[in-house]
Amino acid sequence: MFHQLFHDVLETVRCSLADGDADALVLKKHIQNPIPKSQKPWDSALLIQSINSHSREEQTVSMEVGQMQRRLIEYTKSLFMEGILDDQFLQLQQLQDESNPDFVVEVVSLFFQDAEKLLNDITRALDQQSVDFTKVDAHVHQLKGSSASVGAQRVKNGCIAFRNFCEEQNVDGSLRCLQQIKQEYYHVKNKLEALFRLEQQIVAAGGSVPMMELSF
Amino acid sequence: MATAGEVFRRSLTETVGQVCDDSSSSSELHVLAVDDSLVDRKVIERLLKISSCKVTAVESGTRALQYLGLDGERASVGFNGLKVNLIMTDYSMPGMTGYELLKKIKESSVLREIPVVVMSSENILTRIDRCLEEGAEEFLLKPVKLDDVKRLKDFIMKGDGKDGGETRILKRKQLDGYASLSSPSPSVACDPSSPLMPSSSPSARSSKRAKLRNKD
Repeated sequence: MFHQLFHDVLETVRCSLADGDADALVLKKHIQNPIPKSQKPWDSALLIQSINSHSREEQTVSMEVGQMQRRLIEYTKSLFMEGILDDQFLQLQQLQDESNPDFVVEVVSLFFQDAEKLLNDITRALDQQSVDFTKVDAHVHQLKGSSASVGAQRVKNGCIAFRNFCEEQNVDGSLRCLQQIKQEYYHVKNKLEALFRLEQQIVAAGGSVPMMELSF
Repeated sequence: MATAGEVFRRSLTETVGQVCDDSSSSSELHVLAVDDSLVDRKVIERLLKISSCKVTAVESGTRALQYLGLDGERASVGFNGLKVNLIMTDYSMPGMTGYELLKKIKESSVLREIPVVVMSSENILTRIDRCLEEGAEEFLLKPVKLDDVKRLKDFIMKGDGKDGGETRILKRKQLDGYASLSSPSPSVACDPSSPLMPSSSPSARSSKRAKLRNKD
């Protein structure tokens, strides 16, 4: 009678296991091929233990992936709430797919390179004896453009303010603005790098990066 | 007098006739994108590819003219590549501006049929007017979105001159919306489904221009 009960339990377990599960295949074989009564229960019990811990592991991993995905969504949301990123960043994410899985990272990396070069150029230009504000304005305009293109809202807004000082040929105002923009730039750079790290962790754990929705 | 749309449809048919090696994708638009910003080139390239267009991206008006076979010396050699169905150019570029490029294209008997769209991060009415008056099909505010490209593609494929007038007015309405946006709230978005103005008469357009001017 015990053996029949055991057999029923095994059947239930067998049915609920994924077909590809290696342990399941062995277990199926055990159930299908009758082995002397004395041996079967022990082997099966050990197998079930192994399957249990295996599926618990899988459960843990999928719980982890789920947690990481939720963490990523909350983190991204916070960046929008704080005005660090704007809708354009979501636009970029929509352009990413299996054929271009690194699109956002690639564009943002280009932005980082561009921005750092421009910030250096602006710093140098403002350091001159006689400041050429046309040049400064041109650099700021470029920075404004590329920050707008990736959704780096605060950097973009900083550039808009900066251009007013350029128009007024105001060196002190410009220097203060430059400081501000640099801070905002490094801030968004850190945030985005953290975001990309979270994405990498999810992918490494076998999960997929969740798409953000606009409804918040 | 043939409308721009009819002439364009004719040249599209010519394209289909001319293309021999790429017959499977002869129905795809080939877009020449001109922008000095590497970030923006990457984004526009992706926007266009996702919208099933072939893309050639160049960094300046000079390069664009070279590609189109109109740089003086090389004109006799002929086109460098596949026939171009649409040119999208940034307005503010060092050297030759997008406006100057537009002028050169419209002044060329060979190239004037190609529709040109101007993109700019700055919502300056006189700039918009100048471009439209010089023959630009559309003026897009940067950063360009997927909806803009889709709408543009539909418009080019249909090639109806009347639609062009209404589309320009729709874009002005959207620009009006952009101009009044001051807060960084991501939920505020232009409504693309706003009804097109029923009348595209010159008087309606000039009164609309006047209204927008007063707002600024």
